[in-house]
Amino acid sequence: MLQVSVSHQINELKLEVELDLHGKGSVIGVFGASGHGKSTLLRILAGLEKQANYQLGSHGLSDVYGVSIGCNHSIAEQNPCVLNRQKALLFPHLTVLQNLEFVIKHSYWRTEKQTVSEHKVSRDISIHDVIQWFNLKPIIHKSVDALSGGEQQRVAIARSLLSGKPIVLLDEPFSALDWQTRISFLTLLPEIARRFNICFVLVSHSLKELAIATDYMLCIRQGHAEEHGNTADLINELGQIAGQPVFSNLTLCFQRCLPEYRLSQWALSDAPQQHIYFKQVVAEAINKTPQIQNDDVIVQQKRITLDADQVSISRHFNADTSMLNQLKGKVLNICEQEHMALVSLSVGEQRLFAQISKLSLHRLNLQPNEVVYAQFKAL
Amino acid sequence: MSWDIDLQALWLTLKLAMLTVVILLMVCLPAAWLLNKYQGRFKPVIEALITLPLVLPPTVLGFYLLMAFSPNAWLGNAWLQVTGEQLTFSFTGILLGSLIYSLPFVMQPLMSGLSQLGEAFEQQAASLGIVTWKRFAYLLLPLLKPSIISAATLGFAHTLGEFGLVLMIGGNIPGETQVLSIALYNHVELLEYQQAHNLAALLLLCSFLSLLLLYKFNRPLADIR
Repeated sequence: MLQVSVSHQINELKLEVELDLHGKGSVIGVFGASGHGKSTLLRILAGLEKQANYQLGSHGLSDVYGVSIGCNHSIAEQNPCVLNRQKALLFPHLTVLQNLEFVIKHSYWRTEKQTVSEHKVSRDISIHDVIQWFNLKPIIHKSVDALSGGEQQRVAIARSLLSGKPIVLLDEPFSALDWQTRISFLTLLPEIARRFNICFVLVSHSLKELAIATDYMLCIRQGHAEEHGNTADLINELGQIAGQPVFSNLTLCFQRCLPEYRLSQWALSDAPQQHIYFKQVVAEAINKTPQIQNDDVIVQQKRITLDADQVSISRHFNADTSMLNQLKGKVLNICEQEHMALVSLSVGEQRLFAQISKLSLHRLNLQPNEVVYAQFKAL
Repeated sequence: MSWDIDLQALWLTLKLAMLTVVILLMVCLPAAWLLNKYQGRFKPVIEALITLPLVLPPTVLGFYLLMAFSPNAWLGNAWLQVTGEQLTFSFTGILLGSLIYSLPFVMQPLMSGLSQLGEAFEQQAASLGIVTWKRFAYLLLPLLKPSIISAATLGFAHTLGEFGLVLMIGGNIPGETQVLSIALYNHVELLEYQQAHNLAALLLLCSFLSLLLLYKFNRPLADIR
């Protein structure tokens, strides 16, 4: 849905990216260290860098969104991408609610572009939706100055979603939020994308964030898209290089809530009998009254990250343990590091990493292709 | 009798200052906005021309305007053909003069307000799909409110105190071009110190009050960023 060809010289850095992201999923990640052109790439996509040589293919855009090809992409308001920066830039003379209403009332894409083909979703995102998703109710009447950095970022992304544009460019959108909140918003992105037929481009320097939210990602180094591929595949490669702690990236499906224990039960997307328990009762939405349930996003499928050092390995299924999660898998390979060993397992079709000490490795005498159980506490 | 003339002068002064400010704001707001975006090589020239009345002696400006306004010059002549009135020694003439004379005082606060505001908000609004004129009307104008108030107050107060320029192009016609500062000068010439005192105090008070209101109620732009 996004075909891009970008070439732009910024000081020393020459940014050259060519991409065809058609059919690559609806949340696309951009990874890279700072100063390698990630943010500039987004500014170019949004039509805010006038000098940049840039072509955005409208392949797919027209039938999906009814966007006329005549749109001039170098005019920011006509460009189909809305840029959501790290710095929230809320309009300071308006309250939170007024900021949101301002966009609904005045955005070209909501007022003039109502024409649309049959593929378009039946309704636009409403203020009610974003208030719920980003938990804006407590701050909705506050003035923008009174908000904390994290609150400002939540309002900013809500406002971007209301613009009615089909492509939302997110530049480190949750950097001021704590990790738990960040995860819950990141999990929401694919769901919003699916429901409202939006494409997200998420820039981040955290592989974990990208693992949770994106289907496809590219890695930018010195202005060039060095690698790109499916997130799950690429992360396994990049994880080692980037020197970030190793983690597994799993896709799960929701199964049921256990409210009496404040747990929820999920399963590997490709192996429904392999359960994983979570400490929170998913979205509170599930317990809400049926009337509003349809409007809530109930995330049925999500991606999670699991740090390799949280996982231990046992040769047998252990019924006498407090560990709730025991996944059955097969040892793929064992990579010995300085004083630890990284065991990669295949569970279903997915990959799981366990970091164990060398002592454990020698005691267990693990061999490739052996069937083992990966254990970890409720997440 | 002379009190009547003073009242007339007061009214004329207020009318002149008010009209000047209103017209200047209507012209300067879009002009400042465009000039702020314009980064071409003529920018310094335009800026210098706008600021020129700030440093030029009012008599110099008045002299050139007098020449331009005279029915023998093309501007004065054209005006005479179109409206049937002369520009020199008329209210329209001193209004035109004031517009030029107070231009930098209105333009400067707007320009500095705009450059302080930067492009970020406007770019963000554009990216959100808000078209140019709506950004100007609904975003820029409210955000620039402090600068607009400064510009209006400074323009108003400065026009109140105009003397040399009005005298050059308007002369001293009661009810037409005789503003407060000139009426005051007349009183002094005629050794009518009591009336001169009144007018001087009135002008002092007006100017002080406008500035007081400006500093008391106008939040500086830095606060909202």
